[in-house]
Amino acid sequence: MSEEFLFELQENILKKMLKKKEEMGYADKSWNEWFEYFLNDSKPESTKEKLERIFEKITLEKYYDEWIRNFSMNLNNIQNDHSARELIPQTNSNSLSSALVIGRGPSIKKHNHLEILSKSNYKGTILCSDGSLADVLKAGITPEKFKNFFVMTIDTQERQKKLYEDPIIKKYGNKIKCILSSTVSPLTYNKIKETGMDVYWIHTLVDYNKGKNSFNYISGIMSKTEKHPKGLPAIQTGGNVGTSAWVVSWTLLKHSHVGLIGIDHGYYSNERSSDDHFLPKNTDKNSNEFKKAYPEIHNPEFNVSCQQDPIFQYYSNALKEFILKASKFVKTVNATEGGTIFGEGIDCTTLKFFIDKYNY
Amino acid sequence: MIKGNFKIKKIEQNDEDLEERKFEELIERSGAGSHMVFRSKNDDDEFFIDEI
Repeated sequence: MSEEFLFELQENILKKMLKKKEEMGYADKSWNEWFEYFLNDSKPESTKEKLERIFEKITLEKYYDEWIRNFSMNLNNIQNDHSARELIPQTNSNSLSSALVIGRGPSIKKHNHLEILSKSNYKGTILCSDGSLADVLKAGITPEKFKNFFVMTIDTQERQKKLYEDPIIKKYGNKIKCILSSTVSPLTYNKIKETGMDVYWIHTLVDYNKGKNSFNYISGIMSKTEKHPKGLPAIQTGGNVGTSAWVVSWTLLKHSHVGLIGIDHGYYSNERSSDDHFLPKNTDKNSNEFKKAYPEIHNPEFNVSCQQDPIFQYYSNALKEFILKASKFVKTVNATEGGTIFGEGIDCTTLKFFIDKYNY
Repeated sequence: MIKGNFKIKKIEQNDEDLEERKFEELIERSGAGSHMVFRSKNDDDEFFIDEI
């Protein structure tokens, strides 16, 4: 089946097109092949690129306005609280030091990691995701025992405030440093301040590559004050707080070795971990597209299998790429003992081994 | 002014294209976090920027 499409061109434009087609080596090829080449349709998009393109679009559509609203309401506090830059150690950055990033993935319970850590004499930094904080403290991993103790929030929804409502957080709040994205909900900020924590603000990178019209650029300028003449530093989030905490651990806190626990980026059952992950209804689970979107991943390092969803694929693809890229700056040890974070540049081991070997 | 005709050939969608379209639809219905992976042409900017 075909149809004709009539168009008009100026003669000089046609001449330019013919010349360009010839110059590009397409003189003897069809117009279709030439258009296909320079419209870049000939290079297939990888699954990783596709996930990034789609999630970028969804995230911007869903949250961009919220980031701006939250930032504007936080601005006064940003200008008067600490900048995360104050956390950069002033001592020799070449010395060995370690941090343990704690997520709330299912492996943390499966392997009793909080109990193991609580009973250990680990001397490094503890860096909790907000979702893990209450359980971490309840397990006896407190800032009284582990002196360098941080928690981090980047998610911008109001619901994040609930993660700071457990009474045990107030008990230890004044000994915990909270690293907070400038786009979190003011309700989350207020709840954090009620616990007595010191807040250290940071920007999360979303569109800085778009230049002076970007939200990152504008919010960066607005954050500069007499107290913070350089404004706030900005970090890659990888889309989630676990990856953000990993980035902070070596870029800002300058640790040479970073361990991960509770960072699974996958499921061991049909349970879903949060409000953000959906298993769409009326989907054929035997279809090829479902198997591609929700693949079963075997982790040969720990000999376990788990199921991913598109969001976890998106997160884990990025984290694995970043760990490899950053391997000249930081050694990353996945002590999760499960999950989907494995591959080049990633050491996989037990938590006990990490604590014994990198206890500095 | 030159008048030209494009003859538009409709390409039957093959199974692979259909599967990719369904895959994209499935991703769009699978949820979203509140943040995203940041990409920059400058590798040095991708992890940490001291001052923006």
